[in-house]
Amino acid sequence: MGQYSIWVLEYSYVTNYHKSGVLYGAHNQGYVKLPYCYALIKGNGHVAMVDVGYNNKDYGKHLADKFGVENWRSPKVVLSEIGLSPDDVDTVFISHAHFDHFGNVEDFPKATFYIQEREIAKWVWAMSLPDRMRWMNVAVDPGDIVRGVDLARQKRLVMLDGAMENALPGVDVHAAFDSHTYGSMWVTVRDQSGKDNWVLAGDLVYVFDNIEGSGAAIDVETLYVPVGLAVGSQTNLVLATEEMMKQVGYEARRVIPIHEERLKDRFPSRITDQGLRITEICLADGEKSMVR
Amino acid sequence: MTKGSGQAFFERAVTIHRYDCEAVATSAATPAGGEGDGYEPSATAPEAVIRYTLAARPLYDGMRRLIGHVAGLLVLVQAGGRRDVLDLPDLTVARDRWLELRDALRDVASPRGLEQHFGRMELAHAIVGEALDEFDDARRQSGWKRRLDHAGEKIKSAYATLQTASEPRAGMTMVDFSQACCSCAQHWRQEGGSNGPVFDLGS
Repeated sequence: MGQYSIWVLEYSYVTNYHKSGVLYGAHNQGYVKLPYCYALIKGNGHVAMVDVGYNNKDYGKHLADKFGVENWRSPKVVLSEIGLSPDDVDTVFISHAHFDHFGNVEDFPKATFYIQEREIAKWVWAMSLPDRMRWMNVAVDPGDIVRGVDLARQKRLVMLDGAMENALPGVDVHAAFDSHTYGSMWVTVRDQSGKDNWVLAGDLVYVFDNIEGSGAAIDVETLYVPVGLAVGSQTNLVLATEEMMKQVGYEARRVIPIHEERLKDRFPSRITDQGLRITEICLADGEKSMVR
Repeated sequence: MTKGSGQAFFERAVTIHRYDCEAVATSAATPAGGEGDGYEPSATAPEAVIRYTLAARPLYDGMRRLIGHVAGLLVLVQAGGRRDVLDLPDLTVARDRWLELRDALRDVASPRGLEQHFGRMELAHAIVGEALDEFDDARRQSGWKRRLDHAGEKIKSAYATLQTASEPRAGMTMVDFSQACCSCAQHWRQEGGSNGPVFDLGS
């Protein structure tokens, strides 16, 4: 047992997401359910999150009505399922600036946010490019950057340049530049022995198959298959995956992909009254289960 | 309006949606006061509306990105404590983009019923200009932090104003969702549609 408990909390989902967005090269292979989740880390007197989801009031109705994003619930409702409220959250690690990860900072009034400086700087650059290059700023809501201005003014936005050890005691962040986004990062929750580490991968890994894809074609058991969407490169995604795996002793189950529906098959989970999933990755000493 | 030219206009107008996309088909669903309020084109002048939509959408998108661009510079200065950001060429690029948008706005004619929508676009553009003026002052004068606070307020106001000109029916949304979580064709295919030409409007 470590010093932190970790849960993955679903706050919405897309029933049918094109598989090629999840797995590089998986064209014409249909659709998969894509849960929208954030991760919560609790222990050592801290409540931290990896990402904050998006705020339904701005474009949620548009997403729901037109594109099949379903069953959005507020952080207040979602966190209450594990006995917490957004006011309890003191730290948020933003894995990257896409709207479904960085789009709801307002709901966490007491949190300090960590993001890679490169993530902001390169989005600024991308937004300044001519129209013909606008693909490079896909899925970013300028409103989230605008809200970042307020966070900065309130001294609640910490910009990182690469990795940071012990952002919280035993919790590190690591950068994966020019991968899924320009300044993506992942979070590693360590224990002292090094044998009970967990990696919260953000969107650097969407699903198990990004780590344990079939290697039959080249006569190996498994291989890394990067996610489909990258403004950087799939090469950098694979390199980041290798680094994550190294941090957990190549035990694939310890790299947590938050968009993976099958987390419930691998970890204790329950479905709430709202039809959303809570997955319990690990429990700290003395912490009671929220899924049993 | 001849059928050919009207069809061509429409095909160009819906470049992010299929002709049978729900986003187009459910055009009456937008609630008053919400996203899209103010976009009430007159049914008597469809070609003028389509012309306006084609002209306005890139301007909306340009302003959306300009707001993100300027806000990002503010974040870099204020969270990173980097006053040198004020001397980066990115600020000059933002001003150049603003001037291009100003010129382009002058060339747009808003049809009857869309004056309010166009007015919001103009207002958002003007407020971004004020934010850029604050940046210029911050670079030249002492008290730069206070100037940038003002710029922050302006850029929030510009975003809120442009948000009121958002109109999903015309492809004017604050987030480009095309690669994010959805694709127009997805629902249609599930309902048995084939992979025919995307903009096959039929005869």
